[in-house]
Amino acid sequence: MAHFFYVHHAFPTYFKNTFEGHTATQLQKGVNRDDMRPAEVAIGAPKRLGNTSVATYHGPSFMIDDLIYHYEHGDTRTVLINCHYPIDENSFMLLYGISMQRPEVEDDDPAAAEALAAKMVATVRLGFEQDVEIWKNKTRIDNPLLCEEDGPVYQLRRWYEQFYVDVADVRPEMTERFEFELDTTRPIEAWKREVEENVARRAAEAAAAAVREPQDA
Amino acid sequence: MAVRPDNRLADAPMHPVTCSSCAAEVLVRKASWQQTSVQWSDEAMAACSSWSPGSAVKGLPPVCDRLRDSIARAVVDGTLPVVTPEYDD
Repeated sequence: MAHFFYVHHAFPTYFKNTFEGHTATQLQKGVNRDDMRPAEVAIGAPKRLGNTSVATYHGPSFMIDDLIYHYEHGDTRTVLINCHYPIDENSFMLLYGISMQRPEVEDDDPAAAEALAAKMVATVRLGFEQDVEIWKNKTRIDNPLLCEEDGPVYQLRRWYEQFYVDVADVRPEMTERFEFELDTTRPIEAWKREVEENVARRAAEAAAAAVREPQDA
Repeated sequence: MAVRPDNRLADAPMHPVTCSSCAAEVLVRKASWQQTSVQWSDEAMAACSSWSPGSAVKGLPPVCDRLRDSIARAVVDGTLPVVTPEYDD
């Protein structure tokens, strides 16, 4: 979640990874941070309110990201396709493409629509290349000591391991469904209050039961 | 190369939770109030009777809202521990 906050200047409200079979899906919903000058405004593109992204890897090297950007004037659907293949032990060739729903403009002017689309595609590129910059500067650690906020790194590797072995050697734990969810929409205080009430109620019930049924001496 | 075990599970393992509306038993872990991990088995997948599209968003894997409710109930009943609730304060 810190990744979205610091790298993409977005405030995630919901995040979920689902690893299952040969697919790995990431659902992410976020709102933009009001305290940052948005990168898209700097290049003259419209300011975004937030986004909803459903990105799925189909196998080890091909991802389709259905990416909806929320603007004041409405939603814009984009599709980001990302694929990569290894070229040596420590690097890979990355290819990606972005398509976008034609934006609605005044008088339905094709040139204006084209210009706006170009700027909005540039916005998507900015977001993706923020990630690419990290990939250029990271390396694999085989046994990272992780804190809770690091997310399902081991589970992702367990899923990816299926692509390094023969099909006959794929084990159930590589393909069985695993879900990792972060939901910020349910207020924590409500959770806590409900738990405390239940614990107190059960303690009171246990005390009452103890009075009714004194243990045999 | 073998995938190493997750160090976080050594101190706080996943807990079995059985869905209150079907026989599916899954392993669940809550690292915080907001975080939930669910490990399904093929048996649990077959037992689940209420897969539904999670949202209108295209391409999203199906979800089971009944299991979600069962997990929430296990939390408020105090049978499913929340690993580091202080992180949410």
